[in-house]
Amino acid sequence: MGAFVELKNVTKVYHMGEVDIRAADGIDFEILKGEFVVIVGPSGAGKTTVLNLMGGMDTCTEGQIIVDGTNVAEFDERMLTEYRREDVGFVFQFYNLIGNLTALENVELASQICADPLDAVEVMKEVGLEDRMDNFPAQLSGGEQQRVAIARALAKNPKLLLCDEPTGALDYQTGKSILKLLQSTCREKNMTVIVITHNQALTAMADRVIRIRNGKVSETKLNENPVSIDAIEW
Amino acid sequence: MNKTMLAADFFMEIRKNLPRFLSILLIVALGVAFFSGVRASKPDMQYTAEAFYDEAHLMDLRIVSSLGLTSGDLAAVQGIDGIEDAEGVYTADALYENDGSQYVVRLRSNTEKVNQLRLTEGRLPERPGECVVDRKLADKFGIHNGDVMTVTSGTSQDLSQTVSENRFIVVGIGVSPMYLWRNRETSSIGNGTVEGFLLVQKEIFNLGAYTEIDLTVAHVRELDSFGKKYEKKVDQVKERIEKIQKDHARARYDEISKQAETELIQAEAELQDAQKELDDAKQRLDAAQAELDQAKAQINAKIQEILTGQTTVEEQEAALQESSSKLEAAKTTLDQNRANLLNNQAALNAEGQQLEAARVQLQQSWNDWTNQGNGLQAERERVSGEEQKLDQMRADLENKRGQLEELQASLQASAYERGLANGQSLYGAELSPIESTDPGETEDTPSTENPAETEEPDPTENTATQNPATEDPSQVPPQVQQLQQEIADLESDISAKESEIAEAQANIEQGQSQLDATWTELDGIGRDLDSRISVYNSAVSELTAAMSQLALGEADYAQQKATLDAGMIALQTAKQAIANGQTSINSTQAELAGAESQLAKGKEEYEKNYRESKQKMQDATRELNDRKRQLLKMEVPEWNLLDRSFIQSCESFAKDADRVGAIGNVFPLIFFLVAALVSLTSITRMVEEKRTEIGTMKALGYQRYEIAAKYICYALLASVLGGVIGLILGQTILPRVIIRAYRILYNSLPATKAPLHLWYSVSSVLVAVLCTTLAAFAACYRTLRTPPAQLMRPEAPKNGRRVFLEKWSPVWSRLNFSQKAAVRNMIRYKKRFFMTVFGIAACMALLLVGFGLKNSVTAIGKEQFGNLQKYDASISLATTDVEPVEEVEETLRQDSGVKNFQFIYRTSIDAGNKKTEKAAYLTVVEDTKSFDKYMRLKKRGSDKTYQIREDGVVITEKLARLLGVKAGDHIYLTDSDHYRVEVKITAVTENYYLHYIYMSASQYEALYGGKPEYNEILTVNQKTTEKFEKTMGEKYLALDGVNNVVFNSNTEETIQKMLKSMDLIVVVLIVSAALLCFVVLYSLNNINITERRRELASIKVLGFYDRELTMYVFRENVVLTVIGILIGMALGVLLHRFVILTAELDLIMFGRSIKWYSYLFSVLLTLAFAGFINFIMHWSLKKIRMVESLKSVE
Repeated sequence: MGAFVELKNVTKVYHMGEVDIRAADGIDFEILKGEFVVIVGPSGAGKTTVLNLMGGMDTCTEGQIIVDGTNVAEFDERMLTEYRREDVGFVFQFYNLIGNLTALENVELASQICADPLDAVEVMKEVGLEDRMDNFPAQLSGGEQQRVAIARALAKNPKLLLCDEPTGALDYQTGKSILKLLQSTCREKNMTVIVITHNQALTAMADRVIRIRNGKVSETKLNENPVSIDAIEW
Repeated sequence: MNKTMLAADFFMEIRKNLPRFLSILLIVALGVAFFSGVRASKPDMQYTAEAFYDEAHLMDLRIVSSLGLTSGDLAAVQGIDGIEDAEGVYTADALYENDGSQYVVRLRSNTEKVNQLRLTEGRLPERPGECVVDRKLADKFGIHNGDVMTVTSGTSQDLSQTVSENRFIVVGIGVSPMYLWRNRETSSIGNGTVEGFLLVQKEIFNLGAYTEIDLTVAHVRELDSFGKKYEKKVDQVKERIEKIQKDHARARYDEISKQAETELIQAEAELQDAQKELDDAKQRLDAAQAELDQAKAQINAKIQEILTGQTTVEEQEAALQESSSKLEAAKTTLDQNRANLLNNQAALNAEGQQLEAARVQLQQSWNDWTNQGNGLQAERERVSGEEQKLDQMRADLENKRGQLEELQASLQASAYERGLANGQSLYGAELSPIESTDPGETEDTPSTENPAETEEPDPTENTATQNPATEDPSQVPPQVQQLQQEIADLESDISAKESEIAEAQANIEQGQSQLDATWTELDGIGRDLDSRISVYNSAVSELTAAMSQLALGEADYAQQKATLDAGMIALQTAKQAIANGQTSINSTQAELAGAESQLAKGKEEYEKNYRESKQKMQDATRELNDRKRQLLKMEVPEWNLLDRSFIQSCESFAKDADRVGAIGNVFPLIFFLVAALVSLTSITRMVEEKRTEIGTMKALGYQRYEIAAKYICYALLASVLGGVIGLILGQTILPRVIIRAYRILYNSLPATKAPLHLWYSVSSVLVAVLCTTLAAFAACYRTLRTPPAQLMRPEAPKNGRRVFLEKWSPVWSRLNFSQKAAVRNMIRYKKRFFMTVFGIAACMALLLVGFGLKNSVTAIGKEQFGNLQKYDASISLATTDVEPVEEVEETLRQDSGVKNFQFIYRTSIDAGNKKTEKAAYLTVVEDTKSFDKYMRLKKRGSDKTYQIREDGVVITEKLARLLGVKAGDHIYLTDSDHYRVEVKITAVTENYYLHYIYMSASQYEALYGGKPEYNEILTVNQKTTEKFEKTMGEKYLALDGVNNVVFNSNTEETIQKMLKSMDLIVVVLIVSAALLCFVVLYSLNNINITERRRELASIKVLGFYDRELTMYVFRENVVLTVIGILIGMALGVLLHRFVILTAELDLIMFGRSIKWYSYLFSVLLTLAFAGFINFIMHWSLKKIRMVESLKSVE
């Protein structure tokens, strides 16, 4: 089985005045379909840059990003938008829900624009929010908001689920339940899930761990026996 | 150190967010510029005018008196405390002709100190024949320095009675502070409007008194002449003048009335002389006429006579002719009669000859008979011989018997003889031959018979038988009886013998009887002949009678013929006499005709003289009556003390300045409000965005004021900078623009003075600064009160809330998320909602006002000249004399280019009520029924039309509004003679330009007691092309009776030009609206985008295309824009109304309605502006970087 996602020599240089910052400096890795991947590294290592590049929110300066056989790095603005629309689901640290729309409407906001969406209500049920569907984000707790964000990402039925510090703004227990939801989604739906975190503890639950340091992949490790999130403590 | 860091941070903040800084600065600048600029326009207008007033020493007070002012008055005034200068001024109106039209110019005497002219060219007049001409006149008629202007009198009086010169060399051109605008005063001559002034030397006036005294008050020049202090000071002086005016006025009155009375008496006498002269002339003419008439009558009588004579002659001639022909006929008859008579005579002669022949034959027969008798006699003689004895015997007897018989017969014979002699004598008168033979024959016959009787007397028995013989005249002796005795004796003797004899006798007897038969036969013939002769004789006598009668007739004829001939000769003479008379009449007639034509000439001359002198006398009488009335009306005059507010242009300009002030109070306020709100929002927003930073600073231990200082300074800097820029630009540009617009009307205004006004500057900047800085302070204050920890965390997102619309599920369920979000957004961000709506509304309102103003201004031309003033030209008449006016009328009637025309009387008049008074045109209409062909009188905004009624007047709308009156109210009208009448208003009609009062001729008569003297003709023409009007104008100006021809197309053009200034205002408004729209929308959109950066980035991440993202935001803006436009429409209509009402000039009424296309343009422009802003927004949305927005909450 070939790589579902493959990064080859991906480099991203930010020009900050007269200084060039190489946020990604020749990153290479590959991910198989249905894997639960944890990309881990210290702050400023370039892991978010990598996620942004994979998610089509930014373009790389050099290299190839092949997702499901297509080189995303060559996409123009419009194709990137389409890619984000159809193929990628995002989960952010601060949820980024639309405050003016209810939980369900936030999900529907995503499902409405893609070609092959899942039923929004179903997805809400899956994330365990069937009772809070008509609530506005401000009326939900952080965990619930993050669940809505996950539901919003899943409802698009994406090829790839990208999560940027999904537990960063959450307390421990809530964080755990969110990670559990992500893991089970991965397992049940054979969804390729990529989680970015600085929490080393989470590596245990991943199928594949990619360590990034100073814009480079320092280590790629396949986890033969990933443990359930319940078994992890930090 | 802290401070430098803070300062660095401060400047960094500005640099980093320059658009925000600039937008605050700009909106403040805009607000301040408008606020202070428009407000400064009023004082700037006043300054500009005041500078002119001061420079020219414009009078502060003017004294006028109906009776003029003397030099004594002047001296007295000059002596009053507080007066700087006082000068007496003469004025006189005269007519100036240019291009065939006459214009009124006012000659003013030069003043040295007060009311100085501002010369734009040349110098002041130094000699009597020089003048400085009003620049308006110079511009209008192309008069230059060195030109010569000739003026004539506008009244019956000769101009030389007023001024000694009538030709002036132009030595200068100038403007007077008394006339800032084009309008000049009214005049009582010409068309009633003074076109301009001519400044001439005082010396040329021959007037007894000054027309006015103009004076300046001391120490007021440095005061604001539109202010209260000035007014107060002038009023003080006014009071002082009031104190002396009574005595002076009284003195003047006495002087004048005495003089006037003398003059009046003299004038009356003159008038009477003139009348007398006229009457004399008339009398002379009448006498001549009478003489002529008499001569004519005589001639006519003569002619009549001759005619009668002629008739008589003709009659006589006819009668003569007739009698001549009658005579002729009579002659013919006579001739015929004569011929007849001659015929008859011939026949008679033949008859006479026949008769002669018959007589001869008878004679013959008698001769034969006599012969037979003789034979018988012889027988008897033989017998007698035998019987001699017997005879002897018987002789006696016989004798005796014979005598008896003779006696008896003599009687018979004498009778017969007498008759025969008679006939013979008649016959013999003519026919002597017959006469001569006949009687002898006839006498012979009986005598022969008788002797036979006597010779053979019957013996016995024959006495009886012989009786007839005895009757015959015979020579038988008369002694019958004796005889008879003897006879008886003898008879016996005889008897014997008798037998013998008897035999012989028997024979004889037989012969005798034969003879007797022959005699009888002859006698019968003789008798027949006799009767024929008697017939003949009677015919002859008849003929003779006829002959004599014919002779008589012929004599008569001859006599008549002679008479006729005499008559003919008389006739000839009469005819000759008539011919002679005719000739003489002809010559007399010719003479008479000559006399007549001479008389006619004399008459014509007299008529001409009469008309002229009548006209003159009428004028003189009218003047005399006027003067009499004036004298009667003349009351002890009062000096009228007029301050500057009585100078029309000063007053009007002051009012206009007030109007600009009124607009300045409202209009810029909108800008200002918007500007304040926008900058407030921006600053608040900025503070809110910086909450983390504020929290950090606070956490770092900075003092509150140190933290707040940054934002307050930021606001301060932006607003102060903006304010200063705004006030400089605003106060220099806007007043100039506005005054430039007014300069079109007030063309004599000198250069604009637009200084910066401290108060407007400070107040507007202060308000702007306070608004923004206080906003900053308030925002900071609120933020700074929150604990740092809370500040460090991102602000909790605002609660999403269900909106009322969601309860209405049929609608709500139809909306998609973007629409739902939009609805919720709008309602959530209330501040932004109102700001945007307000901004858009203001923009829309300004545009609508701009276009609406344009509509309103255009309406003046379009409505006034397109819909209301239907006539195409007005011909003003130069005279009221009948002939030239009739000529004009006839020309119009025959002009195929003129469809209709009507006479009107138009004059300037003051209309007023208790509150106020306004100048207007009184139009008296000859034919009110057809007047709507020339001028539609109607209610504005409806089709209801009005008629000019007999019981009142129709006045124009603006006049009604200025006077504060409506239909049914009463106003008074005062004419130039100060004669005042009261009238009722029957209707108020739509009108946009100038004030008119329409009156019927009968109403005029009822009010003024005389027929209006029509002085204008309105015409409706076939064409309105330039060419047509030029030709028509030339045609009518060539007529004596025409003073001027004005075409409405020209007037319309002039007005449109005059109102061009409005275009400028419209452009200003549109530009302001656009600016406002940009600034507001840009700021708000900017805030909106910044505020929602994360939300928008999230949506972008979700894969929304740029267009979808823009629509996500745009949708709200569209809704806000639509709401804003709707509100703006309402606002605009109100504002338009306000501006119209405050900005319009007194003489003009702007259209009140905004046209549909103005709404359309305004909406489209607003949408365009909003669209443009949204287009810009689209780019800033595109620029949102997902990566940075999502990383953290800043």
